[in-house]
Amino acid sequence: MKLSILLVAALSIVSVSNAQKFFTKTGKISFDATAPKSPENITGVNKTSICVIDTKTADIQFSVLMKGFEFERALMMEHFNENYVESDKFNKTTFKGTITNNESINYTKDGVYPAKVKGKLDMHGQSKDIETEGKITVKAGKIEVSASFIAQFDDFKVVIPQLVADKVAKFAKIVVDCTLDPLAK
Amino acid sequence: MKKKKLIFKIITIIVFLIMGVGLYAYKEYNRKNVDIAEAKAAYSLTDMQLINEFTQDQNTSNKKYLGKIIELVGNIKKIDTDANGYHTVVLGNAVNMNSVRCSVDSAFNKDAHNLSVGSTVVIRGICTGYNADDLGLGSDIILNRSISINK
Repeated sequence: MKLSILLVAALSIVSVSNAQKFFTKTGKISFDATAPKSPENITGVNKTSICVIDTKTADIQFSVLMKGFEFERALMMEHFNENYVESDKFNKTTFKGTITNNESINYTKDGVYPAKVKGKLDMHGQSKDIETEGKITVKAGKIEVSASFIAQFDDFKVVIPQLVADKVAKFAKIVVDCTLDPLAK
Repeated sequence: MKKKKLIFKIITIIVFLIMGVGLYAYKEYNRKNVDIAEAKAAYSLTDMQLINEFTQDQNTSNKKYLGKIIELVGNIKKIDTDANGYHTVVLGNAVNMNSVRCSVDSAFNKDAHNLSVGSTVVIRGICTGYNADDLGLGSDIILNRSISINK
């Protein structure tokens, strides 16, 4: 009797720690580029982002389709796609990085862990190193990733015309909010 | 006298012009996103036809479909619900790894409850791109702001 309980316990531990990779195809990535005195909010949200984490190698990757950003006003969306990020030419933004403090995160135990991420953000044909701190929450076999960082438009050659400079800031605060499921083999 | 009349005419024209430009700017500024329920689809085809086109030639398909409203007839392979309760209807053939992922418009999220896996559905949405097979889980075409159409 005791043995069988032990066996079941052992098996369940194996099945939890077996999942090495976690992923989502419905990750939420939003940005806020509202200038300090702007009368309206310049925000967009993408709910179809891909995120993959490899818990063994500490690799973390994001892939975001630029045309997938939704805006309050149609005009904002058109300006974003046509003039700023030129989504016809550069339809995808990717981030490839590593979780630098991966050893301090226990992916098999529920809890909230601070996470440090370092990597390369490829957007608008430009590549830039990004380093930020976020939070990894392990809950019921799933991983929640939340982080935010600033992307300067200059670094990515995104030009904001003088005409809208009072509304659109020179940088965007990017907020990441994804819930990842274990990748079943 | 004649001169006065002419000046008056010019001023009237200018005032109307300014009003016209103002009205246009106001309308443009307040323009809402396209109403998918009312909009006409640029292309109508089946889920498998779209998948075949994208897997065969990504660049040509991107040029043809990105940002366009597409209406698809397809089989519901899966319905994903994320942590915020938003649904994604996954179209495709159950034996084929590739699929079309239709992110349901938040205003129509309730309608998605009536859909069931394995049934045929007509979905209209905006094509936002193609994700190649990076995970070994099949490639995906993404439709945004999707709604199911009753025909």
